[in-house]
Amino acid sequence: MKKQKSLSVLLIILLMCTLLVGGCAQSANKVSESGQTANQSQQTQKESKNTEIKNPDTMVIAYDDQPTTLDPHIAYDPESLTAISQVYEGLVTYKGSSSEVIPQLAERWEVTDNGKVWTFYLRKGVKFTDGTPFNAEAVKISFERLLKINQGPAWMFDMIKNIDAVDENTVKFTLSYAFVPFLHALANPSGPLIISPKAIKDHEKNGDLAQDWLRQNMVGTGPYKLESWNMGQDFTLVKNPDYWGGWEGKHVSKIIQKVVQESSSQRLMLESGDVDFANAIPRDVIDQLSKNPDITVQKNKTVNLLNIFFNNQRGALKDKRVRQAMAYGFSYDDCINGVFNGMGTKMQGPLPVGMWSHDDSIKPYEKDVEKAKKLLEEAGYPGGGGLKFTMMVETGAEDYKKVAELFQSDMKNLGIDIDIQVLAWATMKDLLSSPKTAPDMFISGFYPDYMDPDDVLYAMYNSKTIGSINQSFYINKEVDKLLDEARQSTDSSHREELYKKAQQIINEDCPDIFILTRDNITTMRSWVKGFEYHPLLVNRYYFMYKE
Amino acid sequence: MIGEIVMNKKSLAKFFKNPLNVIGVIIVMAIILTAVVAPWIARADPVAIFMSNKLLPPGPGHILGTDEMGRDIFSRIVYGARISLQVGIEVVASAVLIGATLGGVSGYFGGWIDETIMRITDMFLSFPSLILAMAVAAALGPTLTNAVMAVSLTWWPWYTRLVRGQVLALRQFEYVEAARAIGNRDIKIIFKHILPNCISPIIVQATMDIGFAIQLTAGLSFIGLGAQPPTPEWGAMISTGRQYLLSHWWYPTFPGMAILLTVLGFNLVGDGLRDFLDPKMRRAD
Repeated sequence: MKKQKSLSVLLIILLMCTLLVGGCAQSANKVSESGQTANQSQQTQKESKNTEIKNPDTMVIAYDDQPTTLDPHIAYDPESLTAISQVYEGLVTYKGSSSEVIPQLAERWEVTDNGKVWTFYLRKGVKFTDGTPFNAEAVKISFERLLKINQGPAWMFDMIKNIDAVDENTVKFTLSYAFVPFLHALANPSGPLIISPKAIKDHEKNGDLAQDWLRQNMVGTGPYKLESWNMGQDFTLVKNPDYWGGWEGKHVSKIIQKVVQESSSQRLMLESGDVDFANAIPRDVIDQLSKNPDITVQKNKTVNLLNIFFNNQRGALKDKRVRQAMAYGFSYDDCINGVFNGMGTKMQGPLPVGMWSHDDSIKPYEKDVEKAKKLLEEAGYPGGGGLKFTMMVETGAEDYKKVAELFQSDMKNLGIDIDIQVLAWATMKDLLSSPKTAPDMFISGFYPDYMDPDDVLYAMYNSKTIGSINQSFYINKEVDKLLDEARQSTDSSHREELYKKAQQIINEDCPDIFILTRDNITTMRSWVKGFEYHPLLVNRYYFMYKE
Repeated sequence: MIGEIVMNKKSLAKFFKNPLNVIGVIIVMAIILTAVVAPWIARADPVAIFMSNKLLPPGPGHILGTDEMGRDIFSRIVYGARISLQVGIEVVASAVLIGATLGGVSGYFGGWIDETIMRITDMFLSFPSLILAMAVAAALGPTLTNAVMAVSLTWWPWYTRLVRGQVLALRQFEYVEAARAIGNRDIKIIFKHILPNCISPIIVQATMDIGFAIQLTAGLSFIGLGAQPPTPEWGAMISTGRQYLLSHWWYPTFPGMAILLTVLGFNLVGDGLRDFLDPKMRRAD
C-alpha cells in the first residue's frame, strides 16, 4: 500500500509540474510579445555570445527523412537528390539562381536545325573519384542505364533514340522527335547524371546494372564523395581533393546530413547552431524564428504545385459539374493564408503563374457556395445528394492533412461527406497506378523537373502518362492532341498558342482542384554565406561556406 | 464470497476514508459527467474550422486556446472525453466478455480444452501489447473502430487467466458439486453458479484497465493508426500538437493532461476497489 501511495503522489507531483511549466511558458511568451526593447537587448546579448562559428569547415543539415536511395538514375525525392547533387554531375546545369543553362561536364553543344540531333563536346581531364577517366563512353553507358532501369526520372528522356560516342570527347544524342526542352531536361537534378562506368561494371550482379551496390555507394565526378551512411541517423560527404572545379576560394570540406524527425528538435538545433540548415520548421513558427539575428529565413517563389487530385474515372466524379462544384466550394483564401500562412501564390489554371506560356486570361475557381450548390443540383445531386468520397493523404505530411481537413469541412457545407485516410506514400503510390484501385481523391504536391509547360501539362494531363504521373486519370482527346503537337514543335509562338488552348480546356474540365504554388522556405544560420536558391535544383554546398 | 460485493455502510465509509480513493472517484465522476453533458459545457463546435482564429493562446472566448485549424481546444477535449470513455468501456467490455467465457470454460472443464485455451493465451501474451495492437490496427486499416478491436484483441488473455484461476478454486466447492448432482448442465453451472462469484476481481481489474485501454488507444491514434481527422481524439490531438510544443505550448499540453487525469482517476478508483472488495488480492508489497 505504501508503495502505491507514493506512486500516486509522484503522479500528482508530475501533473503539477506540467501545469507549472505551462504557466512559465505563457509568461515568457507574454514578455517577448509586450516588451520589444527587452526582446532586442536579449537578442544583442545572444548575438555577442554566439558569434563563434560551430564546425566552421563542415556544413550540417537537418532533414526530417533520410535518402531513399543514392542511385541517381532512380532517386526522385529531395532528401536523396540533396545527397546525390553534391557527388554526381550532369552535362549541363543552371547558372546561379537563373534559368540560364551553362556547361558542366560538357564544354559546349550544338543542335541540328530539325532539333533532332544534339552533339556535346565534353570537358577534358575529368576523372571519377575511383580514378576512371570521364569520356563519351561514360556518358553513353550512364544514359543507357537510366533508360534501361526506366524508373522515376527516366520518363523525361524517353525520346532518346540512340547515343553515339563519336570520339573520346564527343557524344551525339539522336532523338525520335524534336524535343525542345531537351537541354532543360539535361540540366535538372534528377536523372541525367553520369556514374563511373567502371563502378557499374564491377558491381553488376545478375544484370541489375549495379542497382544494388549503387543504392548505397556513389562514384561521381563532383566536388564531394561519400564517406559514410548510417541508415536512419546521418550521412557524411567529404571533399574530393581532385575535383576538376578546384578548391580555390571558400568552401567547406565536409557535409553532414542528419536525420532529425521532430520539428521542435530541428528548431532547437538550429537555434543552438548545431545544424546550419533545417528543412522542417513549421510555418507557424517562422515569424518567431526570423526575429533571431543568428538565423536567416529566406522565402522564394517556386513552381511547386499543390492540387487535390480527383479520380476522373470514378462514379459521380466522372461528371464535370460535380468536380467543378467542389472546386467552387473550397476556401482558397483560408487555405493559402491559414494553412500556408500566406507563403504561396494562388493558382490560375493548371500551370503555375510565372511559367512560360501561362495563360493570364484564365478565370481561376473562387469560392462561390451558391454556384457550387447549383452545379450539384444540375448534376442530379441536390443538397449533396448523399455524395460520399474517400480522400487519401500521405503519412507525415502535416500541411496536406490540414488542407484535407479544410476541404472536408468545406464539403460538409455542400452536403458532401469526405472520409480522410492517412496512408504511407509507398502504399498510396501502388494504389495510384490504376483508376480501379486509386482513391476517389488525394492531395499531393508536384515539383516540376524543368521550366517548361511540357513538364506540367504533358506529365499530368496527357492520357499517355496514366499509370505514372497522370494520377487524375484524365482523358481528353483534344488536350492529348494539343500537348503532343506542342511537345514536338520547334516554333515557340506556335507552342505557346497550343499550351494556352490546352490550359483553357483543362481549367474548364477541372480534373483537379488547382490550389497554390508554395513558397520555398530556407531556414539557416546567418553565418552560412554563398547560398543561392534555385527553383529546380537542390542546394549545392560546394558554393557555400561559413563566415 | 458473494457477501463481499454487498456494500454495507461501514465498508463504504472505509472506502472513502482513503483520500486517494476520494480523489479518484471525483476525477472519474467528473469525466463521466463531462462526457454526458458535453454539448452544454462546450458551446463551440469541436470540428468547425475557423482559419482566422488559428493558434490563439488560452484566454476569454477560448479558455484553452485554439489549434492549428482555429478549432476550440476546450471543446475538442470535452467531446474527446466521450470518445475516450467509449473506447475504454468498449475495449474492457469485449475483453471481459471473451476473457470470462473462455476462462470459465477453461477452468471448469480442464484437460485438453484448458491446455488449448491456455496455450492460445500464452501466444497472445508473449507479444508486447502495443506491438501486437499496432500490427493488428495497421493490418485492419486506420480507423478508430479498428483500433478498438486491435486493443481488445491484446486484452482478453489477461481476463482469461484471471477468471480461470478463480474457477479452478471455485469448482471444488460443495455448492458446485451439488448443482452438478441435481443434474444442471455445464453451461448453466459455469454462467449461473461459478462466474458470478468471480465478479469482484473482474470489477477491480476492469476499472483499472479502462484507464490503460484509453491510454493504449490514444497511443495508436498518436502514431496515426487510430482516430482519423477531424475526430477530436486526445491522442491524435497530441500527435498534431507536438510540433507546436515550443511555440504554442497549450496545444499538446491540455489533451495530454486530459489523458493523464483520466488514467490516474481510473487507476486510483481501481486501487481503492481492490482493497475494498478483495483484500486477498493486495499486492505483496
